[in-house]
Amino acid sequence: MNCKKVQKLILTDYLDEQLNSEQKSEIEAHIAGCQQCHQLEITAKKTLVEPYMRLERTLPQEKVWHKIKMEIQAEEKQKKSAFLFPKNVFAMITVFIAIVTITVMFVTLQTNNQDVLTINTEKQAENLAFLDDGINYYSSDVENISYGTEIEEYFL
Amino acid sequence: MENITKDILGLASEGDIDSFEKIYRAACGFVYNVVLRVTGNREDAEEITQDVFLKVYRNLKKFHFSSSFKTWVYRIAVNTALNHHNRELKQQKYQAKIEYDCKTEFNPLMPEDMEDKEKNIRQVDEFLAQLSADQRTCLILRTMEGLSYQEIADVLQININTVRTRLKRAREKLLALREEVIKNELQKSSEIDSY
Repeated sequence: MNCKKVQKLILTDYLDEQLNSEQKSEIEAHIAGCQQCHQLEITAKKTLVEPYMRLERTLPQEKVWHKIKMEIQAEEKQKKSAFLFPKNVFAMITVFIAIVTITVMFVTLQTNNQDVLTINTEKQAENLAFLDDGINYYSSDVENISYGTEIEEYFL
Repeated sequence: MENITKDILGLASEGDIDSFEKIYRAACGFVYNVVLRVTGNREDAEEITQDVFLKVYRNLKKFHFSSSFKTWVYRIAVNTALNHHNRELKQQKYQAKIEYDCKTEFNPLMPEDMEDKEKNIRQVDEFLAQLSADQRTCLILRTMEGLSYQEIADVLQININTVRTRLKRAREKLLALREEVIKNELQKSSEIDSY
């Protein structure tokens, strides 16, 4: 094992005791025979491990728990009141009314459109019928064409 | 955290405040310390600790034991602390504020061993402040919280080799900082001797 690899392991797995016994023995054998790696091991333990292990763990002040407790109790209270009388009931009613109104308007509009469509269809039918009748006035048989009223026909 | 059973978690998720207090008492130590070391500020750490436990409470029903409860709580703590840290960085307010008696001069009333202890704590915090948030978090979880590499990878949801890389880089930086401090101290003492 070369120094570069050993030094990398000294700073990570070896220092943090993440190696199995075989790997650990290999590293220790190298360290025993290499001054540079041995020095790194001593420095690493002194600088990178011991100072942090000496740090005392402190607890947060009691006021932190009090604030958490108050917040939780307030949330639970709000949940219960929301169950009895929904906070957003007015919003729900408004939305419901809006939906109903839009639906009614839509249906009314559709009905009006249908009526208009029916009227238009009837008018078109009348127009077509009129045009159909009009074809006889343009017959090539001149003698059959009537130009006047009955009185005119009497005198003619 | 071994005393936090599934029953306690179940009761707490249903709104039982006494059960949740048991969870809080078991976890507040490590949550507060991780958050404190990531942010470097006691006031922020208390506020974030409060946020962490409120998140834990609100999401208890969603916790389905896919990881250990402790890992889950660590994850919430680290993510909340890092989010806060990133916000502070953006606002350029981040600085490592440590609530110590920041006297750099020798205090004759303080016993030597206490002075050394205070000096050690101050130095550790100053060094930690020089690391990136990711490196600092990995180092804290390993050296102070004693999590294994796999546990750290689970908490941070990163690859185990990424944990190794971050630790290696963090420690290389700390060694370089330590060397600089020693060099400066030697220089100072040689200047004093020359007078």
